[in-house]
Amino acid sequence: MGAAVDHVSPMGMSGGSGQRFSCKNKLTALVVDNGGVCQAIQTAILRSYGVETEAVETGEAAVELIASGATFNLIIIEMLLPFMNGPETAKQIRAMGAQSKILGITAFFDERDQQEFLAAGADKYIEKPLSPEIVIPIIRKLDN
Amino acid sequence: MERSQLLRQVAHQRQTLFDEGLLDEQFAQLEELQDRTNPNFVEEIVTTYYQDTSRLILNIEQELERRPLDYGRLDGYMYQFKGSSTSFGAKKVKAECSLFREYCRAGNGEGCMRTFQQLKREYATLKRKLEAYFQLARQARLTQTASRPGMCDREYQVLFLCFKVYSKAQLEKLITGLVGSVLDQSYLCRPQQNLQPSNWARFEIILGQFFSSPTFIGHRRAFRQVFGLVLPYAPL
Repeated sequence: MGAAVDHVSPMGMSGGSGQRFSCKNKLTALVVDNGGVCQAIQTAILRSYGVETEAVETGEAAVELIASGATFNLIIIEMLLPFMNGPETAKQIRAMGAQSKILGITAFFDERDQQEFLAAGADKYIEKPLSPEIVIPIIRKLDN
Repeated sequence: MERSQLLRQVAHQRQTLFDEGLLDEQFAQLEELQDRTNPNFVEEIVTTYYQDTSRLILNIEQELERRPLDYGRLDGYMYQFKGSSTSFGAKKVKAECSLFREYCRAGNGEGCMRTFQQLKREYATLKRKLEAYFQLARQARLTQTASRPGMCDREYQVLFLCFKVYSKAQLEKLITGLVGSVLDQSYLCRPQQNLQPSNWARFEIILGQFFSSPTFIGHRRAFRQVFGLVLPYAPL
């Protein structure tokens, strides 16, 4: 019973069923967003689920990080990034052979953007905010 | 001001921010991310939000003075504004961002300018009310600290006493009594109102585990966690 208490997520984020959620295995994520608030919140949300999370502000920085050998289970990429946009970033990441789950995220849902992102190799495309309803099923799947 | 009255005011002011449509559920999610390891998370996010958005307001103001209007640039700035406001939970500000963008896409300069003025009004209202709320919350925290010198020491003293002297049955009675006295207090008209939702749910889980724990170590850990959660709300 003491061990069960230890596995309760310290952040206490619940997901759907009302149970506390924290991933069982070591998972890693990369947040690619140039908005200070968005980056900070997405990072905090993922960390609250026990996911080791890094963050960068540009697509170029993300590509560079992965080219250097870093691997991530999950990559969240903002649609409108400076210089290299989200879909282009996803395309380059996939071209390097990365098997990460890629989630495209945007402030305004647009069907054309969605098609572009998915065609570039993203697995999903969502509108902000990053909610437990979206993230927890993704993390659960990666965790299993 | 009496602490219980202060706590009621803080809770009321917080609820007003939601009732008036200034904040939405997303802000409540941010509050859940704050805990002892990250005690200033919400205020840090608020500061970052103000930094991001004040820069964007300046950029948009400058763009709206140019002729002809560059709707592409305006659209880009408002995209960022909406992203930040959505992630923050600024409901009314977010709505104005969406409206602005519609006018932008329609090439309606007057609509853009009118909406931007309304956006700034909503933003100023949010900022003012949030600052008042945080000031009151800080006051309440200071009152709590001032009224409970050596809280950690007291917690450990009680733990020491309990586990030296009390049996499991007596510990159960102590915790039940402590919880009961907190819930019975008149200033806690709804217990959940003064505890963060995640803490309250955690509290119930830990209580359940305490009463079913077969080990002494399990008892001690659970008791410490219960004590830490309940003590700030226990009567003076």
